[in-house]
Amino acid sequence: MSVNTSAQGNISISAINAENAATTSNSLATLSTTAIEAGNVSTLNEAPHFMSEFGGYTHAQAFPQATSSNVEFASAAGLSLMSYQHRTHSIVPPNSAAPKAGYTVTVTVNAYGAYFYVKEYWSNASSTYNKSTSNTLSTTYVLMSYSPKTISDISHYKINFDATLTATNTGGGFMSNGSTGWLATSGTSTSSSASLYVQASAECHNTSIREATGDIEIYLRGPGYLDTLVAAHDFEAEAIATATACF
Amino acid sequence: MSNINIKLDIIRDRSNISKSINVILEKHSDFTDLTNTYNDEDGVEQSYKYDGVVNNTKVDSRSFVYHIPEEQQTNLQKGTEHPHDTAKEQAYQEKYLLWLAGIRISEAFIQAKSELIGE
Repeated sequence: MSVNTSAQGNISISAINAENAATTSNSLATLSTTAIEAGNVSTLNEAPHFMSEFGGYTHAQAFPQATSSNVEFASAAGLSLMSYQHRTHSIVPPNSAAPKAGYTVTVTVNAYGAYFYVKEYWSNASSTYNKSTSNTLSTTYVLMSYSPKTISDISHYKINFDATLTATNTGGGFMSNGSTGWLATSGTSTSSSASLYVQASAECHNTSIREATGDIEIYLRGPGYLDTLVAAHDFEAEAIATATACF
Repeated sequence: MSNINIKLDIIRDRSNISKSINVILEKHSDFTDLTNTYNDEDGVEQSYKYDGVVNNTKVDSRSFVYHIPEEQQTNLQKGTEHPHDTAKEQAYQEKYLLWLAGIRISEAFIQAKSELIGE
């Protein structure tokens, strides 16, 4: 329950102490410096301290960090995920045969936890996932990581591809970044997917490269919790098109 | 999210031998939908849209000179007129791909890209 906001005069030290789970104290300074700053209450920790700053305060905590399953986190050395395709042909137009590389991520939240899966976007690419050893990533989902928090804790989640796109040569190509906004959970199980991929095309003896690098980020939101980035897996996706003729 | 466009300006000596490449990395606020055309295998002009760059989205840039290893230097150039000499074009492309690979693992490239992403 948040601290009463109906009127400034109703905020009491005892109410603040009841809400602030980080400490037990009747000192406003102690209660303020141990409070969790978030959103529009970003001055709680800094002096001077005012009881009025606690209006509507909820002692939210961050979700715990996810646990790596088959794919290492971005904090580990080397890349978590790689996807690559180089197509050489007389002409490589931007059609279904153009080289593509990327990933599809699915988040499933249910009564047992939250599970973060990945598969390659394009079956003709060469893709790997890494954790101690390098393994082939196919169009079959692999569990990247998971959180023990369940659908009763998680009201929303977000899949974000924090990506840098690099284009070499002005030939054809593009990146499709399907990052989601906040997605609401409902019922006993919720699942959603998002994809990122790069595509290259070339003609007339040109080579075109499209590369995306960055992190696949999973965010969780829930009552009593701060919006939290719980998992980040770094990736690279690269598509190269080389045309060997000019018509 | 960052968008970086890489331009290569090949520098040749008086004998027309490619000696070095001026590598320019441009950071853009976004890519722009552009249209390009090409002739398909039947010689029919086709058009398509792609993510390209325009000058007014440029935010910043870095550049450095990449020195082409001696064994990769060549007097071959990309042809600009029809009909193309396919054998020479492909020999040039082989060199070009080696240059690209060398550039992309060079410390100067990694540093420049990192600086642009970090801004």
